[in-house]
Amino acid sequence: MKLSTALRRGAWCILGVAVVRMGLAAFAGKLGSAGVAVAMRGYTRGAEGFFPALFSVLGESPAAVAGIATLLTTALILGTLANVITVGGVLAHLRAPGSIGAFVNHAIRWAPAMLTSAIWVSVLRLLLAIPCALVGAGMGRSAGFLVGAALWALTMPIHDHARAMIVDGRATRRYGPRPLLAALAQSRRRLLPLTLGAVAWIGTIACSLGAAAVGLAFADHAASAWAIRGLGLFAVTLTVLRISLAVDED
Amino acid sequence: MVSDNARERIRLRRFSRSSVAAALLHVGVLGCDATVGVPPSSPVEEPTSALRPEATRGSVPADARVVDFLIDARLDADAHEIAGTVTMRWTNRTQRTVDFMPFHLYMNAFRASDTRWMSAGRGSFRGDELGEDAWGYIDIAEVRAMSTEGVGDLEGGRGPGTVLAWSELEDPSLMSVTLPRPVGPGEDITLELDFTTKLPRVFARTGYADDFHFAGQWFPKPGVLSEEEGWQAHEFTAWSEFFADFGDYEVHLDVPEEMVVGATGILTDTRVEDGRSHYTYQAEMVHDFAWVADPDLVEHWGDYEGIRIRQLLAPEYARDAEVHMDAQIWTLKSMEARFGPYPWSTITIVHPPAKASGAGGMEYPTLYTTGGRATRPGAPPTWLLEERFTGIFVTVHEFGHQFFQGLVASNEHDQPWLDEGVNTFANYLAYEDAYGPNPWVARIAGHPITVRDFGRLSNAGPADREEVDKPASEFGASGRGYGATAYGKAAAVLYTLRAVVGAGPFDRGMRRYVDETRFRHPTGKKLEDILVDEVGARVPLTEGPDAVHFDVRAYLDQALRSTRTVNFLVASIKTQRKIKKDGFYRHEHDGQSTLHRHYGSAASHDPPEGAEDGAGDSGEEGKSAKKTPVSKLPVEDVESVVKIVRDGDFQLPVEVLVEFRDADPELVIWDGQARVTELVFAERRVDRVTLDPAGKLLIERIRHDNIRWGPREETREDGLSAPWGRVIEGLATALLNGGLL
Repeated sequence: MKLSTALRRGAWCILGVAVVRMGLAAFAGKLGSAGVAVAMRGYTRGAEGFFPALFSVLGESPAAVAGIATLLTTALILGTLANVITVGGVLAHLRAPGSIGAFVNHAIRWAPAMLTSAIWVSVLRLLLAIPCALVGAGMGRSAGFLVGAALWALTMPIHDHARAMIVDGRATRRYGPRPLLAALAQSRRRLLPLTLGAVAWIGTIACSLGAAAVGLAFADHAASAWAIRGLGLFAVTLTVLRISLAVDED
Repeated sequence: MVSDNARERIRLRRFSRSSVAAALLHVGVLGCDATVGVPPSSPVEEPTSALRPEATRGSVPADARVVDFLIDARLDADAHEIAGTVTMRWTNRTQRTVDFMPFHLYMNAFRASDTRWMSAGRGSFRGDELGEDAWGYIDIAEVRAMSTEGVGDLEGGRGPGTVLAWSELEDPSLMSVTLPRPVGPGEDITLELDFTTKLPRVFARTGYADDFHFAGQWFPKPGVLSEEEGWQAHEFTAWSEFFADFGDYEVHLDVPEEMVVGATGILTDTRVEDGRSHYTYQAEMVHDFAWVADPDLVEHWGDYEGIRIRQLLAPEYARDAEVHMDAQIWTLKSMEARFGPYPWSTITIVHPPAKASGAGGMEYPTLYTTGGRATRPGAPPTWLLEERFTGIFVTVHEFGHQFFQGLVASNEHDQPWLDEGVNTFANYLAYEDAYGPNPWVARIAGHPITVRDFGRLSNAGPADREEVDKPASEFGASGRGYGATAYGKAAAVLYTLRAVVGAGPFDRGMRRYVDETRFRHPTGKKLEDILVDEVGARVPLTEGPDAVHFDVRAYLDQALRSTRTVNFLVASIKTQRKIKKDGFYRHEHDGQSTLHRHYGSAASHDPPEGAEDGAGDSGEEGKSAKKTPVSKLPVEDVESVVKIVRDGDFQLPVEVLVEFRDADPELVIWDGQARVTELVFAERRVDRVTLDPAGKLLIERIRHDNIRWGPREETREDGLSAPWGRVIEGLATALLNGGLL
């Protein structure tokens, strides 16, 4: 699938997913903000630094700290679940664009298989953690971390390929590890999409971390919220393009 | 091609072979590969005297020298045991007569699970656990009295002597020796003790980890005889540190040849025999002696005005050497400028290996252990995190103890704030001397956390429940209250006092305190008395008959001996109609008393235009005034009322900066004695009120309620919630988009 085709077919997926995520993130931001606003009602921050002022407020509000921790944990779980659940719809849509209803139908239909596939890829990563640990022990933690990140990045397009085979109907036992093992076995023949997929995933991670960093570094600038959203949109775009690489092969 | 590191190694080897002086420079380090990563430095020759020249360091009071030691110690590195004999001559400098002598056997704190030390923390300390079968102890074989009369040379005391009775007390960290005869004022006695110290696996500052051996509090140490209170000796508990008298030490260490050794004082002799290295160290006017032995330590050298600085670093921390050296030197400069000369000629900094991190962060005379990694290859980029804290602060703090407890030897058990708190306060000043006023210690994505912020954060919540001035043993085993109180709160108390009364008089007081207590055992009362004497008992903060005073005694009482907390808040700001003379007032005129109508102005008895002059008629002005919202009234007709609440129990004055929409700002000082006060500002509209605008009250931790906007039609940003919302949105975006599965 050409890049232009993927973008054209995936545009609505990208926009839809991005808007939902932006909305959730903005909502989380508003909730966090509201907690502090209640404590600050009538007061204002002076020349004090951002973090010292924040510590003063949060130090008096253990409940707010717990609330924020819960909020962020929820965001992580929601984000992960949403990825797993919607990927079936995205794959089907990229292959044969349809209505929103069709997208939702596909997403629901393939959700159980996508979920089990996610479990299998997690098992694979756990197994890969062993060589990472060995490298870490032998060459230092930094080397272990780098190898781990590279292996994790490579498993993403392999997993995409496995999921594409399931949605495409080429995988007979869709709940077992076979689709993943088949994708793994075929990876030697798919070096280019594998590499591009890994790079795209790294790009997604970089955008995500960038969004967090922008929020932190430019907290005092209102425009930073739009930079965060822009990075979020770009991250979703990269994700859909990465998935399209798997569709392309089929 | 030879790398810089390899070149350095070769250079060091050559040095070791060619120079006679190198024999005194701990040859063990030079043959190992551990020098990789250590920045180049030139070895500094060992001083010939343990004290700096008198012209530099000042005089040492003769009567401060109470106990001299001659110690022979042999390290069995396989068994992790030190077999030794200590000969000590103790002189009674008091008017008391004693017939027994208590000894600290600190290492016995780790002897069994039910010692005071182990039972309090259930065997854990600063997150470390004493490993299985890793006990440490000190076993006294025999105590002998060598002489009951003064002898000129401790060596002369060596011999059979008279065996004395001794017994451990309820907790084995203390023992009592029955003296052969009472020792009266001015008399001395020489005792000799044979002991074996089994080091624990590194735990609570001391012990071994593989070949690394750190010997701290490893020999029997007598208590301190106080004129007022008799013998001062304390059971060793988790947060109680040490207390001992000054004296001279000569220590002979016998260690495996490959060991790199560092110790208190100066190295005066070394020889190698039968695979063993024999080192002789001498220290003058110190109250403890510690040493380290490890084959892998690498050296890094520096000097400052004749003081030899030697670092012994575990190889994994070798690249940090220059960071620690810089911190050491700027701290030394700061402390000498503020508190007088450092008297000794050496400083030895030990950076234990990661496996022995429990030995890090502890002070001994002329030697201290640091900790933390100051530089790391995988560190976050500086735009994300920049800091002057990790590793550096430990060095600054532990060196600071050379003054506050090493030189000014307060009782660390009875008044831990006097060394930890005063030292932490001095550390804040050292940072300011090095980096400028209120410098940042960390910048997280560009957001600074300054020394004052750090000071406030260190005075954390648990400190609200603890008095500063109490013995270490009265703090909880977790250490949270101890750390926040003895370090953070005590430092904040002093920093606040300095800011309020002025740096000049306060600094004079601190200097006088150190000058008067060098080589002494001062109490907190001494420090308080000197400060009050220097800054004044009641410091005027304003002038005039109603002047506000800062009561220094009351401040110190509350800060040190109560759990009162400081928190002021701006409860409300309102603008209201100014009360005017409007209505009927009785007037006396020519002996007649009659009611007269006033019309809203003190100056005028005349009705405004259009108003009738009659009883019960308030006039047009009155009618229109009631209808006009306060916000629309001319400024002459309004007044602003600022309500300030002292939410904490701590009574002290606070500065109030009031900014107006239509006038210049005004700085008011409220004495802070009552719970609430209302400040009224006639004919002005308050725009903003800031409590403690200069941030003087470091002791006030909760500050988000210190600034409030006045009533305005437009809404005001609080300056915190929206930025925080953006941080959360960024984090949530990252987590939602992470795409891990």
